[in-house]
Amino acid sequence: MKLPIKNLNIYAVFAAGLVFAAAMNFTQVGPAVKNGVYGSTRPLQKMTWDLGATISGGVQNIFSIQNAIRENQDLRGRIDRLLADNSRIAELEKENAALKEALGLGLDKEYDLRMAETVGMDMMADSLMIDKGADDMIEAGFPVVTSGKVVVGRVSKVYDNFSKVDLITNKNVTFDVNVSGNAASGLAKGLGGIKLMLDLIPKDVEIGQGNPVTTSAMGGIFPEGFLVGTVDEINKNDVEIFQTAAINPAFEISKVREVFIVIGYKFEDIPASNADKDSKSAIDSQ
Amino acid sequence: MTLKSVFIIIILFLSALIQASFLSRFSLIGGTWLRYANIVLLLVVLFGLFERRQKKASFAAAVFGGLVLDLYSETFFGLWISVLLAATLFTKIVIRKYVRIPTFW
Repeated sequence: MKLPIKNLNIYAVFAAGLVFAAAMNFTQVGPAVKNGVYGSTRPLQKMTWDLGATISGGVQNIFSIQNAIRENQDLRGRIDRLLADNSRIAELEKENAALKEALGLGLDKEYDLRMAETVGMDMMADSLMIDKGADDMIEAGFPVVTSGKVVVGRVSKVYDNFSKVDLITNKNVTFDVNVSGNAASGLAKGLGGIKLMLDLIPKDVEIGQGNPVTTSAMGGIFPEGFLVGTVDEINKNDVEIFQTAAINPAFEISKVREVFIVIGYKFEDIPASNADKDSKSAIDSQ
Repeated sequence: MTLKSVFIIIILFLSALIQASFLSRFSLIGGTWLRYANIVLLLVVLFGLFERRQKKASFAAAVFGGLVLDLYSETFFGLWISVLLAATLFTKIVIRKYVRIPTFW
């Protein structure tokens, strides 16, 4: 048989490359290597990550102060609308960002949380890397939120010390949501490119631009009541049974730094003795 | 390994790091388009463009650049190596057949 390329070394290198790629994709070697690389370059990556935010903010101010003012006004307007729509969410929004404030709001009373820092981003896949992994009891599927009770995404892959988080705008992420409290429920679908849409809202239900979209417990993916974003452009047509709308995600990806991973719920209202009795009676009845 | 190779490896590695962390937070006029910039790909193509025609170091640069990108991204491992190798091959073919530009390497 005649080979198209005579140099056998090229075939050997190609075969070795294939074996290496297979090992990285289909065995535990890949996650271990990646974990090692992330771990060893973390300080440098953290430095450039923080530097990006600082320089970005500075450059943006220099080049577009007008834009910043307009954006600021727009954001203030949005906050005002949210205040009118849902005072509870606005309360949380005001006290966003700082860890102590977040814990003061009671997130830690309702949920078992782990705080993590974002260390990288893969915009091709709408995903974030965070600095907590299997060693911190993180598992795939755990919801990731901000201190302001805004949902960011869910853990999709776990390494020993790092995890990959699929943002809610990731094409693989679909979850149940409520619009304007519980006025309507629908489905939020990630479209990629930090875009999100609202689907399966019956046409007869009135929704308006700026209505808050919150998570619903129905899908079991995210805890109830976390802010997803606000309704943007609404599409209604006579042919379709449902109306759709674009959602403005509440999280601002360039400003997401500290996030919280919800690893479980706290049931403080149930006394331990009662819980024991309940579980014993359940076992006895079997 | 020559000093030049070490220099190229460091540049590619830092570029991948900057791409994954620094640029992804960078917003300029017109939005956050810098997030999607692939400076490793750009560097590898530039390297291939200005390399002497008979030399093949740009392929090694493509493999290393792709390896680093694959390590920092969550796509199928080997995707970026393949993309960068294909880009380098394409550049080399174009250079060999259609273009004459000054070489520096």
